[in-house]
Amino acid sequence: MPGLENGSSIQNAFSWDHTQYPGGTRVFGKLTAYGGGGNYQDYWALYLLAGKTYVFQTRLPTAFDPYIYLYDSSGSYLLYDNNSGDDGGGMAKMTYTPTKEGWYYIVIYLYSGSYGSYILESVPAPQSFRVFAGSTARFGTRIALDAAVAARFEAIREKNAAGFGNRFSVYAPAQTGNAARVSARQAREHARASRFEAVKIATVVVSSGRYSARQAREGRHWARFSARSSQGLVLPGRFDVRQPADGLVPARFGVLGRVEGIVPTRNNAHVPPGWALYARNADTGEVVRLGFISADADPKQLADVPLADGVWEIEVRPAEWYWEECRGRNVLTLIAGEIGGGGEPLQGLPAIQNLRREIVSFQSVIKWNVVAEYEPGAFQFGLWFSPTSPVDTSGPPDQTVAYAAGQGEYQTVRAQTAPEYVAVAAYTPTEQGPASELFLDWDAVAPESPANQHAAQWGA
Amino acid sequence: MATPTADKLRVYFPSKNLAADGDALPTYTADTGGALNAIVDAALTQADGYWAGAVGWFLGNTPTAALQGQFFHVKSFDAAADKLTLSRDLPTVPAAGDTFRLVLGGNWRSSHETFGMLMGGVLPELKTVSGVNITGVTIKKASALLGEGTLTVQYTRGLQILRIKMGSQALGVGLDVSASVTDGIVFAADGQAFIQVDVNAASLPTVDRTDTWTLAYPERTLTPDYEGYETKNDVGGKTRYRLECVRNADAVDSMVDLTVYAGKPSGAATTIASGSLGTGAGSFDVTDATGWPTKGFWLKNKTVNAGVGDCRYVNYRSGNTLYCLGVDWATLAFNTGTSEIKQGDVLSGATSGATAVVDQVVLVSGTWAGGDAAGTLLLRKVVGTFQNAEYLRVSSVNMARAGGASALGLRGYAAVAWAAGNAIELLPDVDLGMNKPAANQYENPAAETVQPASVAFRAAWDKTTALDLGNLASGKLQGVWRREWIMDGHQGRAGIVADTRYSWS
Repeated sequence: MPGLENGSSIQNAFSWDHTQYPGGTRVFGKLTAYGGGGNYQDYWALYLLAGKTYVFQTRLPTAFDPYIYLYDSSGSYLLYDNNSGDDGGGMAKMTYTPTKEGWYYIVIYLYSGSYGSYILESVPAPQSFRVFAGSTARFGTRIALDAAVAARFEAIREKNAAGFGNRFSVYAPAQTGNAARVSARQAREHARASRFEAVKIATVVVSSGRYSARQAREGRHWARFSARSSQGLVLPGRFDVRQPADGLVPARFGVLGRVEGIVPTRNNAHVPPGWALYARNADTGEVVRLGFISADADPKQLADVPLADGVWEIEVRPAEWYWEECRGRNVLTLIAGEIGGGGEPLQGLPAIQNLRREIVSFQSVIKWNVVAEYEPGAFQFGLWFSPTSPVDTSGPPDQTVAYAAGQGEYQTVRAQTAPEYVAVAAYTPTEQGPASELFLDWDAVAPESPANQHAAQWGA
Repeated sequence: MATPTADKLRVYFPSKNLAADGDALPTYTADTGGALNAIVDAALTQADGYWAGAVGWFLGNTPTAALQGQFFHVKSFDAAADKLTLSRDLPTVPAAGDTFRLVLGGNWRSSHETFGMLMGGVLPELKTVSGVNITGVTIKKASALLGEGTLTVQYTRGLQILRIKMGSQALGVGLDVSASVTDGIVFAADGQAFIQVDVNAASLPTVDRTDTWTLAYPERTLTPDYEGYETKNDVGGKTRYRLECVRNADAVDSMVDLTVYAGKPSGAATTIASGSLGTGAGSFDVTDATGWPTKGFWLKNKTVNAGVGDCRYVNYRSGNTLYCLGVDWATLAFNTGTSEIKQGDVLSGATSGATAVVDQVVLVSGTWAGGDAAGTLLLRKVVGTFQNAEYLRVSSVNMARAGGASALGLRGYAAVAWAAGNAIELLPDVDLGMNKPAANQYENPAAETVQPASVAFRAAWDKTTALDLGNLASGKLQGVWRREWIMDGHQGRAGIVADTRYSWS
């Protein structure tokens, strides 16, 4: 509420001080004289909401017999009273329901020759634009102390008081001899729609243009007020204050950091559909990527692929596989070079994978997996045992386990009495697949079973 | 000097086929002869291959309902047949009369903004989005700052305001709808996320009403999927480039200190616990890779190169063990160029015998015709090391001389060895580069795989590493190019998040 706030007129009416009485419903004043230029009437400014019923009255111990008058924002008379107050004793009372939100004015008037203090009450209290200690910080902005730069900015709302015009001030505390950097205050203007204006009255001496504050006045523009610190290397603190206030909007003030915007940019990465062909040397374990067959290739084949002499297991991996440890089905085993007659495919004996041992009822249970299910011929798994490594697999196996079409996991029991090594391999009377070997320790105490045991492998 | 609000930053599609700033993207109309993976239009008069890599979409009101708002990625363009071959099948065969648009390259900003959030599966920029309960309101855009979740739009009759909120957040400041509004902005409680609406005040409900939508991020609207056929082609990978045209739409105020960075995969920074890594393929263990992607992502080592860092492409992850691809990209300075070296050329060093495939040719000075061309090559599938001053040959022809030894590295980092204790963190999938348009015209590379001239790229993934675009005055333009660096043998990965996040004061 602009003006001198000495209560002498509508233009200089007192603002309703909500701090004077619980709930902000009462204010206290004093008339000092009757006639002769004395203070025989006070104007009070109240911001009232449309549709809300207000009861205004003077309360005892008001020291005289008051009249009260109500005017609207343009100064037009609305109603008055002299003796209807709830406390009797000549107290005055008015009941009014505004049809329009805005400023209204109550005049308390000295009728008789007596004068003194008075109590003016509004139930409910008129609207307040102030911040109270217990309220949810409607207004207040600070930038925290920075290690390198002392507080550059602080905003404090001053108490409304008669004779103290500033409703809002922004101070920068003096630092190292540098006086206040900036100040913003409310101009006294009557009948202005805008109730707030910030004026920069000081120029930054050391650091130019670090701070500016002013109100943008646009009819339907959100930003009514903005204060910000431009970015600087020395002063990383980014600061922005703005008021997205609108006449109809309760939120009168907001504090924001940096403004942000996002461009959503999301996509996927694909790999080509198809299969990669790998060859694994059964002797050395060397893996060679032979090439890629696209899903839409016709025919689906790789031609003229060079391959060194040796026994190779040919494996197909779908394109979407990515773990190198992944194993596909060994679709065939072929012998390249002289030892196999020039690359003729064999029936394909699978490699032994994940060879492991478990202790069950004080017996060794030897387990392994195979993935070869590509039309395997009749074969068995042979197990050779030896106290030393490598285990000799040239002779007949000590134990055999039959292959079952479609079954990937196998096991057999070993009645063990001492530490030993086991070698497992698929075999037929004419061919033997790559063997895997595992050390089988033996103790009266069962070992813990690790999550993954790695089996050593060598060629057949 | 108020700070421009979040709605004032507008990002537009560019396209190489436009003639001036702000031109509308042409609306093309399909002819007969289309297929599930092909669109034919005689109005496409450009040269063979012109549209390869383009992003396109069918208009929201195209006659074939199944194609409305459908996005597509152009694999190739046959000028003779006027045919766009698409990367994957459409929901149905385009019929004659179906309308679509195409976007590719840089050059000029179009009048079409990039897309915001999907609302109930629909992009409001393409198809009308209106509530069931709040009549008279048409939503035209939902900003990505809203994020995924449930958007509530509330109309309060007594106050004649429209407000929004996400999930259980508080309502934002209201938009006065006591009179009709065009392109009104309704902010969420944070004052930044927003929706853009048209309001016909006369059609608003006579009582309080609420509508809700489920918001989701769109995919492939700006950057298309990286298709399988673009890699594992034994030429050493590729780089792709896309442009975002940024404009300050505020009528008065500048955006001060506008910055941008890209999203990256989620996952906390950690250290190398054990193992080491050279420039070849290898693996090592990190202290904690919880929540990291399982395959196909980028990693930065913040310790090496005196803190400048280095990066690798992680082929896949198994627990805390990371398996990285080797570094087979390099930069190589050249001079005294007499014959033009082109993208895709197989380059060899006359002395060293090193070989590589040329990915980019950045000409810094001189001309090929003048025999003094000089600049830098970005090489992939590098085998060996090119030596200083040796002749650089293509098909046994001397093209230029090396201006130094080739230097292995990915995405602008010099490749060095990594060791236990090094600090590492995830890196975005894209690099960013600033392109301030000259007289509103952006760089105009010949293809999506050609680096725009004079644009320097680097990774930017948070506010401290963000690319500084300077101050952007009212109505002015800025440009941000995105570079995807694709390794040969890269892995498939769904849901790559590479949002660009701008901020200003």
